[in-house]
Amino acid sequence: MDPEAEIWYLRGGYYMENGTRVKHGLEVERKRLRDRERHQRDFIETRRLWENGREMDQRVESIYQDGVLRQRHYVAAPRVQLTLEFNENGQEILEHGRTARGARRKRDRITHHFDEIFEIN
Amino acid sequence: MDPLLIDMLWILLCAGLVFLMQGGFLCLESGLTRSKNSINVAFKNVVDFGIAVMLYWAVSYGLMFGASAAGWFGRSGFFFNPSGEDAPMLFSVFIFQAMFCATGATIISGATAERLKFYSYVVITVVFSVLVYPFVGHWVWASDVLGEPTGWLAKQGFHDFAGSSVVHSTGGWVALAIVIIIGPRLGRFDENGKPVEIPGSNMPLAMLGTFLLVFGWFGFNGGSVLGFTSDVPLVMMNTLLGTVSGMVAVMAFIPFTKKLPDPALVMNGAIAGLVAVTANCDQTGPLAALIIGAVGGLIMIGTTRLLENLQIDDAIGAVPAHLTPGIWGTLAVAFFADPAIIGTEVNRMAMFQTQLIGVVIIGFWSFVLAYTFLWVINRYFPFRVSSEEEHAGLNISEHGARTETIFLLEDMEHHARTGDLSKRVRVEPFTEVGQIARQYNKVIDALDLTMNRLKSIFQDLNDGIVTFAKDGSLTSMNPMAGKLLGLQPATAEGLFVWDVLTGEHLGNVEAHQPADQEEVDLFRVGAVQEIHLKQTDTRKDIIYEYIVSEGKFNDEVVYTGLIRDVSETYHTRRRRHRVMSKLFGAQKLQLYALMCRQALPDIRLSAADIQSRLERTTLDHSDEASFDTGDLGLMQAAASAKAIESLTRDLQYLEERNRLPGVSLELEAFLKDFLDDDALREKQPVLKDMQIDFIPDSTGFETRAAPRYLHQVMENLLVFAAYESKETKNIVVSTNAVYHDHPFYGSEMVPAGEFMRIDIKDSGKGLSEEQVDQLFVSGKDESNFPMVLAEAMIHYMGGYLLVDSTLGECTTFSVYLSLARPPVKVTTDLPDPRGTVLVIDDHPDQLNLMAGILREDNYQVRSAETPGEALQILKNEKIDLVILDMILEKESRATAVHFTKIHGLKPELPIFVTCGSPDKEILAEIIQSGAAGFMPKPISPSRLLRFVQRELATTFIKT
Repeated sequence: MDPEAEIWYLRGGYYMENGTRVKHGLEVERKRLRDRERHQRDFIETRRLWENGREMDQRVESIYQDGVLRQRHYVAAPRVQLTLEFNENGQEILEHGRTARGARRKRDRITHHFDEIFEIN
Repeated sequence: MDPLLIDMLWILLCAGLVFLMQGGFLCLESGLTRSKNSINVAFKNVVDFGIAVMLYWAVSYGLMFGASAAGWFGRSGFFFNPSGEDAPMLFSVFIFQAMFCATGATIISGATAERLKFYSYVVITVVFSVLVYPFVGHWVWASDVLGEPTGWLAKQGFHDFAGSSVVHSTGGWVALAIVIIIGPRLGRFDENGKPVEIPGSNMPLAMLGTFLLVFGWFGFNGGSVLGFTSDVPLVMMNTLLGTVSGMVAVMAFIPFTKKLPDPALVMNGAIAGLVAVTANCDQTGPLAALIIGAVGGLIMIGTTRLLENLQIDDAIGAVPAHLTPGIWGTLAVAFFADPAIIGTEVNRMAMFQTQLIGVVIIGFWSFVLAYTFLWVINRYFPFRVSSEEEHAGLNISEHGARTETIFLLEDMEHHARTGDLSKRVRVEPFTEVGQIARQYNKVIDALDLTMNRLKSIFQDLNDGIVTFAKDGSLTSMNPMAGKLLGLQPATAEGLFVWDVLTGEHLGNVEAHQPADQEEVDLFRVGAVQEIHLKQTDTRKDIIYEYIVSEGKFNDEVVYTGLIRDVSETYHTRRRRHRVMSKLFGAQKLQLYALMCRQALPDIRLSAADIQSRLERTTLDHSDEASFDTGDLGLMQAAASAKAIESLTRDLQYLEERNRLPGVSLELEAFLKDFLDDDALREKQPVLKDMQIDFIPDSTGFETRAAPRYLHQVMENLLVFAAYESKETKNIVVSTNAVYHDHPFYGSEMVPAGEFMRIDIKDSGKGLSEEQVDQLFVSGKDESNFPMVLAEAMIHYMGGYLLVDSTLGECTTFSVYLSLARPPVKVTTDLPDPRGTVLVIDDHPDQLNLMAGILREDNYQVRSAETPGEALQILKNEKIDLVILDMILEKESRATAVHFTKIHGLKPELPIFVTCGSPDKEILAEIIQSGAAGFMPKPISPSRLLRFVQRELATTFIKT
């Protein structure tokens, strides 16, 4: 993404402790290009979890182009990451081994879990 | 509900459906193979499931889905036992995958059916389940927890959704390797290499199996999603369309190859369609599934023909249904994968390339590995059953199983082997085989009836029938032949027929083929031949008429000889001939007889007158001192006149009484005097240098004969014998006391009874039949007048003269004279009898003779002519001793039975048996059974009394 991209959307939860805001819960961040005409269609959305001011390892990154989800990257652990790719119609791309026996269902079970926690619908 | 639970539920349900496919294969394979192998085929389906699943748990799952070793095989998860939160899901997947392994293994059982040993199939199942399938499965299906493929083929992009290549082609390749190693079934291809249809035993069962497979395949493909998602309906839709398109395509094609729809081919078409869509049903649309399934069906037909042309026998078409459609379905992924599903950036050529590489590698691995491994094993432990076992059926040879078909075959085999049709085959009601068995029994009934009719003719025939092979060894004889030849038919087999016909086994019979008769040729077909035999002890002639015919049985030449005892007919014919000859000669003698008859009274009176005058003249001169030659002449003349008077008196006696006057004569003494008389040799110069040996009987019996005429007879016979023995100069004269139970047929018929027989045996060259016939017929030159006279004299003495001569051998004259017996005294109520004797004899004369002898010696006698009478007497009266004639009812064998009855009734009673010429075997049997002794006939009074006295002396108690 262009380094001049700006965060134009940020939502998250916090609580006050000793007058300081402590981040806690789901945080949704959207970055976009400074091109104001495309900010609703091309952006990167990152959903994070904060626990008592500490950022968790798990996050979900989604890349939208032209308003269509093109890539979603699930991070369960630094070494356990799952990336789904979609075509311009929003269909998951299943080439090159993406259709190993039961693979899709395995991915579905993992992403379903993430989607629930990270409130992705 | 937790989606994971739904996924597990779906996977387990589909595992059950795949398990049902095992039953589908069982029904399909059993139905498409012959019933004699049905149990074996079904059993293999059952067993391979157990072995495959067991090995899958122990080894194969780990190799297939364990942590990958560079993408080639797994190296964890052996003896599968997961734990943790994922365990339930893993168990579910394991069960599902284990069914796939069993399915792949069971493909092989169908192809190799009907000739593979059971334990060989177990070895093959192990090879498939451990060495072939898990490796292929790892290359294609192994993935990590995130679903990323770990197998090297899958990493290349190779896609086989539910196992067109992994399961079906792999199973097909291994099956192909084995059917090449073990070869085709017996009779599958004729000598020209053309395939011969071997129909299955139960098509409906096979069709049921196909439907079970289709039903199970929904789980096979649907469960391969490994979760219950929105993809499942599409997969099952494509599965359904693949089935029907495969089936319909084959049905549409059949009219171009055969006229009638072939159920097996159509069923395989459905399966081929299923196999073809298995690889791609998750990525294609319905139309594509239809096309792929149809092409799969057509490929199946092509593969079937190819295998037939290559003379590779696949018993149920497993290779054409699984191998090639599996390859097609795998390649079809590249052409038919829907871009809407897999993405629009599809490089079909690259996909095809990847699929092709995968197909080739899988084929190479499966076929070459299996072929190499199994070929080596087969070399040392052959996989194939023997031809006998294959013919009998693997149900019997491998499992010892028996069905009603086996029972029927066993019973029919028993009939064929033993020829015993008395037992009918077992009939299982309400079965097809039972209907066949019932019909077979009807055929046997008809055959049995015909056989019994023929048998009764054969058994009851009055002529003897013998069958023998071309080497002369007897193969069978009917009961009449056994009776004629004195042999049990059961013991005759294998004996040389000539020995049997000539009585070699009897010991007292010899062949005496006359020199003017042709030699008997046992194998001369159609000609009526005579076999001449003679009993050495009785010199009884036995003549058999023999005709032989030739036939063929099972390419072997068999001769059938008909034997008829024509002894009686033969002698009757000869006697008739002699009588006819004599009749012509008798005409001449008739005039002499009439003239003699006329002159006899006058001759007698004249002779008596001369004698009396001469005697008176002699007496007148007798008181004078001198007695000159004139007186001697007068005395001699008186003696001659007396002789003439005596002769005429005898002739008158003959005319009145029709016999010559006979007296009791001590034969031995008479003959001794006769033979020692020098006057005989003086009178007959031919006897001068003749060596005459006299062998008397020494039984002391007296005969009844006229001495003067017997003297003449003996002289005439001796002279004849001497002329015959001119070169050898030896004559034997012997006497024998004989008893005939039945008439004796020789050149003359001698009735049954007791006789003294005088035998005069020369050492000449014998006489022909014609010469014997002419012997006692007056000829023109009257040269045989002495023989004619001798015969007549014997006849009028109440005797018989027989000639026994065989051309090339000597001649024996036998003179039969009656025994002289004192008159029988019939007395009753003698005081103080010495015991009661029961005499059993069917000849009244003999009965009265023995009764008279015993009564004379103060025994009480009861007599019986029949065994029935005798048994009645034994039951009602007290008897101390029994005398039993051995020839009762004309059969000594019957007497043995009666002896047993009497002995059984009164075991303590002593029984003597009597007979003229006893059957030695039967006599021995009776003696062994407990007879007190044997008395030969003619009965000697002294011997009879001695036996009876000795026996009763120990048991008689005076009251």
